[in-house]
Amino acid sequence: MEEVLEFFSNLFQAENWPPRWYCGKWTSFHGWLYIFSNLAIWAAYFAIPLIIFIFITKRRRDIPFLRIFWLFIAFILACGTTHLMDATLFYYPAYRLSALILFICALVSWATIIGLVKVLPHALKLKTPAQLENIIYSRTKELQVASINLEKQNSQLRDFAQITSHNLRAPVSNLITLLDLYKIDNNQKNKNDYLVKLDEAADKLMQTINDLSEAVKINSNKDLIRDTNRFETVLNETVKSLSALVDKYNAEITSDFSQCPTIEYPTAYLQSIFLNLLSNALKYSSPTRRATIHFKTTIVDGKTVLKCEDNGQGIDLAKYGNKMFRLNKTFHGNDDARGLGLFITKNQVEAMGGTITVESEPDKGSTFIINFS
Amino acid sequence: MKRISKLAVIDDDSVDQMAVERYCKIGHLAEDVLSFHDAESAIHYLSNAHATDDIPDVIFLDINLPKLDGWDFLTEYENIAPKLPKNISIYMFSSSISELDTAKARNSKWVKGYIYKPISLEKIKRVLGEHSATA
Repeated sequence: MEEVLEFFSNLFQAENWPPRWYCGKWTSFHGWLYIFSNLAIWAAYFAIPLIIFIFITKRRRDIPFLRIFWLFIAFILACGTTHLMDATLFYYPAYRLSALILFICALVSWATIIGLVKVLPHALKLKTPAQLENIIYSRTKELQVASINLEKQNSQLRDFAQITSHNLRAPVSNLITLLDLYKIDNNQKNKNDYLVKLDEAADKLMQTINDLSEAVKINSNKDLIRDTNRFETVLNETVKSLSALVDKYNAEITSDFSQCPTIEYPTAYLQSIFLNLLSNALKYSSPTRRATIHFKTTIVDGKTVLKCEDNGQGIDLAKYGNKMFRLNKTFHGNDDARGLGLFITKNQVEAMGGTITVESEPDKGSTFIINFS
Repeated sequence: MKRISKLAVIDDDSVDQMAVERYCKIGHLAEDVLSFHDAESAIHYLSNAHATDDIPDVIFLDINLPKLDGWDFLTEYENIAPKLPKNISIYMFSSSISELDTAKARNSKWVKGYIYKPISLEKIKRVLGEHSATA
């Protein structure tokens, strides 16, 4: 303890030792080389922290592990000071001060080591620019997919807005008009007529609301169970349920499911798709030819493709192509056509990740192509 | 109110079609109402009508029609209009409250106005009154 006290009270005294020049034998060259090198190291060791300091003050917010940078600054300054002291000893042999500086330098060095060891695992987790680029790339991809989905949903929403605007407004408007006519028209025969039409308009409104709730159901049912379905069976059931229509048009319905006889698909959707395709083909069959409708399945690129080909009225795709699957679009002035069938089919196919397209020529026929996912 | 001689309705909705006819009859608003259920038949009629009396004074034009819609009719009308012996006032006649449709109607030089469904006696009176005032 006494030694320690003595050490600190005489910290700056240099009388007990000769300056280093006189300690041992130094040639001028040797001594100056020693002094100059130490001073050069000291200058460099003071310049480096300055540069780091400028860097961190300018980029403080972006720098990870800021405290480590401060420790580095202290560490390098301490090291620099030992070199300055080493050079000074040639004239001013304050070996106590030198020892203290060395001790401080040792403390700071070890503090830096501890700091580094602590930070290392976190630093290893930092992403390299290449990794970051990869992350950004995959995020961008995800966002693109999300934005496409959003756009799809958006256009569906717009379709729904259109339904409310027209499909619902039209029958409601009919109701209002008919009620008004009923009130102001004095002709009894006309009044009866309005009552009959009111009844029809109310039915139409109910039908529209049912159709709408079906379409909404499709859009909210994303996790449907896929069952194994035989195309042959589904088609036969569809023909049976549409037998009145099939007989009315005396249609010839053929099929070839030999290349792909079954599919894993929600049964209700598949039935609905066949129902809409077949009733569509029947309703728009040519008034001058006997209707022939052919269903065929193939496998293209590992995916099941269903084609429904008819020889019906066809449609001018250049004119109507983009409107084809929209809700509330009817093209032939057909009373049965509520313009919902194809919209529902499209929604069902797309909800399961597939696509539906159409090829058509007026008065030649149409082919609907469903690419199941 | 002055009675116009001919009103044409181009609308695939049979109730609206009938309603315009009945209102005109009840209110003595038009001598004759022509009904077209699609744009094609109206275009065909106008292209082949040469006597001034055959041409309607006013057309109520539905937007949502099978095949050619109301806007398609206006495109075709562009070609017919110069050959017609008199001007026809065209009013869009729709249940659509879409801003897109009303803006389109405002921007069309052929369209004089927009009639929102449901139709009523008052609406027809107002529109035909407007027509008589400017004709």
